[in-house]
Amino acid sequence: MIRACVLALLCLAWAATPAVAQRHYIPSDQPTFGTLEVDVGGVWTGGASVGTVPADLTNNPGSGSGSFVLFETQTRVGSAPAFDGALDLFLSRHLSVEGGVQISRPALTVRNAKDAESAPDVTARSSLTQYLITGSLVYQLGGGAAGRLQPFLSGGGGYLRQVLEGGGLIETGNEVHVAGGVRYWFNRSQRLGLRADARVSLQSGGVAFDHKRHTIPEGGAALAWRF
Amino acid sequence: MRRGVAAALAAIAACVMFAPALDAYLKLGTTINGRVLSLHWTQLPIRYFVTDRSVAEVTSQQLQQTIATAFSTWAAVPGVSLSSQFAGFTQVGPLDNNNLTVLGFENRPQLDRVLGSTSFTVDVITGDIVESDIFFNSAFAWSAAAGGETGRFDIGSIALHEIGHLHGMGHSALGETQLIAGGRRVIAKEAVMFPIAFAAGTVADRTLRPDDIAGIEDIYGTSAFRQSSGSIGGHVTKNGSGVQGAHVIAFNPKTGKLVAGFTLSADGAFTIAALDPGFYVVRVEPLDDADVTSFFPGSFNVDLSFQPAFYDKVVVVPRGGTASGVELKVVPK
Repeated sequence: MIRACVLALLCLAWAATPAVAQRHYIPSDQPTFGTLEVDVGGVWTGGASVGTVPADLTNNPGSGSGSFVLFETQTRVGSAPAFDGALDLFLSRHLSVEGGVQISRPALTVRNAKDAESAPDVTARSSLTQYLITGSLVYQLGGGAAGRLQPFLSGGGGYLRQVLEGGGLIETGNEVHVAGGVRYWFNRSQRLGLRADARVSLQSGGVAFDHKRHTIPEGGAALAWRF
Repeated sequence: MRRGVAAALAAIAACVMFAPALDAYLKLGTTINGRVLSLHWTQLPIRYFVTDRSVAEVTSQQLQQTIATAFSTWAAVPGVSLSSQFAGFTQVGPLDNNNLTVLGFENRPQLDRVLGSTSFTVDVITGDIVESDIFFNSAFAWSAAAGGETGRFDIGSIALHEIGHLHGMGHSALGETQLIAGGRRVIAKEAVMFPIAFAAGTVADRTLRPDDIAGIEDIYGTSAFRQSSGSIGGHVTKNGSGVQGAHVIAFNPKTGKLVAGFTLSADGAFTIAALDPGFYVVRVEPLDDADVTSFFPGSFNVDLSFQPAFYDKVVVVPRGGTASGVELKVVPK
C-alpha cells in the first residue's frame, strides 16, 4: 500500500516536471526586475610594476649626503589567466547589479640589479593567489531589447586579497573598474549565451608599495545563463 | 662567594665574549659545557654607574645624560622588554673588575683606533652577565653637542653602539668601507652596530637602524613580538660545502628595511630573526668590509673567497613563523 502511494507520488512529480520546465523556458526577450544571470568563464589579467626601490645604506656624512645604493629592486605582479564568475540581478530592462569573483595565480617577481659589489642581476620569483571580489552596476545598451548581440557597459569597485606563496601572509587592497562588452545569445529567448568583455581595473594596496593605483587591463569570455 | 667566582672569571671573560651565539642574529655569546649561550641580562633593570670623570667638552653629568638617553633608545624599541637604572656616580674606573657595571672615560692612548670598548664578566655556570663595563677612550676629542662638533666624536653615537654591546649584541656587517692608509674608512653603513664609526663631527649614529632594531628584538623580544614577527633560515654553500662566516642580507622591498645575519656553522646555516612579515630579497656576500676579528674570534674560520649573489626566489616571511629552506649557492671568486 505504502509502495503504491510512493509510486503514485513519483508519477505525479514526473508528470509535473514538463509543466515546470515549460514555465521556465517560456521565451522572454527582455530581462525584467528580478531576472538573474550567471556568468562563468575565464579572463586574462595584465601585470604591473608595483614598486621600484633601492636597498640603501646611509652615506658617511663626512663625505657627502644622501644614500649609497647597495642594489636596486623592481617588484612586479605578472599577468595571469583567471577564473571569473559573476551573478547579475536585473533591476530593470536596462540596469543590473553584479557581484563577481576572480581568482588567479600571478607570479610575484623582484628584479635585483645594479649591485654595488657586482652580484649578477637576478629576478627572484614567487607566486601569489589573488582573489578579486567586485560589485558593479551594469547598463545594457539598447535596453535589453531582443536580439542576439547585446552590448553593455559597467563600472564598480572591489576588494583585493593576495595570499603569498606558502599561505602564511595575506595582503589586501582595493580596486575600481570600468568595463564594456557584449553578450551573444544563442537564441532569441536570451537564456544561454556568451559574454565577452574588456575591463580596466585600477588596483591599489596588496603587495604593491608605491602608493599608486596600477592600471591592469583585463579581457575575458564567459558562458552566460539567464533565468 | 659569587663575587669571588666572578672575579676569578674576569680574566677569561674577555676571551669568550666574542664567541658568536649560533641560533640567529650575531649576538655575543659564551660557551658553557659545550653549549653556546647568548649573552643577555636576566636581571632587569640593568643597574649601572658612571665614572665621575670629565673630559674637554664633555662633563661627567653630560656623559651620564648621554648614557641614559642611549639606554632609553634601546629600551624604546617596540616589542622588547628592557630597562636600566642609573645607580650613581662613582670614582671607580670603567675597567675595574668589581661586579659593578661602570661606564666612563678612560685614557688609553695606546689604543689609537679604539673609541670605546665593552667588556663582560660572565658567570660560567649560568651564563648570566655579572658585570659589563664600557670605557670611552679619552685619548680622542669628544663632544656632547646636540648637532655635533667638527673634529670631535659624538659621545651619543658611540654610547649607543657600546650599550648595544652591553645588551649582548655583536657587530653588524651592514656597511661599505674602503681601505685607506692605516685602516678603513666607512663609505656608508646601515647599522649603529657596524664596527667602524662615521667620521668625527657627525651625529648620524644616534638613530637605530632596522638591523639594530631586529638585533635587540631578537635578544629581548617579548613573546607577543615573537608571535608577530618571523624569520628566514637556510644555508650558504659553495661547491656543495657549507660557507662559514658569510654575510646574509634580507631586504624587504615594501618597507625598505635591511636586516642581516651570518652563517655561523660549518654547514653554512643561517637564521635572520625578528623580521616583519612580508616578502624579502635575500643576498649573500663575503665579510670583506671590516676586519673579520671585529665579528668573530680568531679561531672562527671565515670563508671570504666567493662572489656576492642573490637568491633566485622571493622569500615570504610568515607572521610567527620561519621561511626555511633558503639555499644560497655561491661560486668561488
